[in-house]
Amino acid sequence: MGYWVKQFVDGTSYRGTDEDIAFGNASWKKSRQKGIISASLHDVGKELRIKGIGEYWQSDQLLFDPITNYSKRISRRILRKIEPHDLFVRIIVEKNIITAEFFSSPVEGCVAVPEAWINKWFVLEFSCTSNKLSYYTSVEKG
Amino acid sequence: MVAVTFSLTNGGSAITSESDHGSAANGSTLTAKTYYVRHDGINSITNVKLYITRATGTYSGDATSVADIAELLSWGDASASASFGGVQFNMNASGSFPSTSWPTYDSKSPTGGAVARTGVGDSAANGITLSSLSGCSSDGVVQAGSAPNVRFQVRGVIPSSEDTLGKREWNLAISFDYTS
Repeated sequence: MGYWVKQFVDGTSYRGTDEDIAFGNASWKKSRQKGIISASLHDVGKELRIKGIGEYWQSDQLLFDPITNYSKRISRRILRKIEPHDLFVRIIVEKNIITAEFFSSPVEGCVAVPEAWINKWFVLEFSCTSNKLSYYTSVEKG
Repeated sequence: MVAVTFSLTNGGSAITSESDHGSAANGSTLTAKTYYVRHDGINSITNVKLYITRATGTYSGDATSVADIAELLSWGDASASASFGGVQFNMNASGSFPSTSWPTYDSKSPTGGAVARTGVGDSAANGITLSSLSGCSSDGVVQAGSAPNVRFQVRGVIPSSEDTLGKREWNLAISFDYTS
């Protein structure tokens, strides 16, 4: 069972498990959006994590199979809007974890945020079909 | 997990068997069918895209499902009008599915329409974004509800140069994003 976690600037957090979501007991959209300093997604031993105060989003991509009449999840994503004050980013890619952290001043291991990224969404994605993790930028919130 | 339903009426029963578009001679157009789409998510589904895939399940065509899908896409790819045809979409429900929203050899992706071809509607990655003309709340966004009246038409067009008789099969599929 997968789940995501929002961490807030006041030290609180909000967690949505697949089970809670299925029963309507958790919602990314309807829960607190302000003051998120970090968000993570966890599924089948994989972890995606973005840090840095800002606007976050989470979405799953699904395919509908008309033969079985079932929807199949093919990818899961955590996204963060890249703002003009995001001058540096540190992305650490490990076998089962990707961590991305945004900064306004340089820290060890960071690189400058390309200007072309500003106002786009930074996406961390887990492919449910290949089990691979990846990151990219997108104009769509998705 | 959000479930999608295709039906033949707004809010109607799910389609559970093959949808037959009929028979026609080469150079003719098969019957267009109207498909309604809805989902059971609490929130809207977004980034909704239509595409075709090879038929799965029990194949009852006259070649193979792989050959059928390749042929249907090649009809959409056609570089001469005599070999143009294929699986076509008209999403302009608000305009009563006008002829101008059906693709032609000269206009393969008119406003509110498209023909499945290589790179367009041939996979989830290349899906055709569901137009707001279909009754969805905006391009690619299908609102929640048991009868949202979101619909589109699908038809087959047989190239005039086609010389092989037989039944072709394909799957109509949909990809989408969902945020809880």
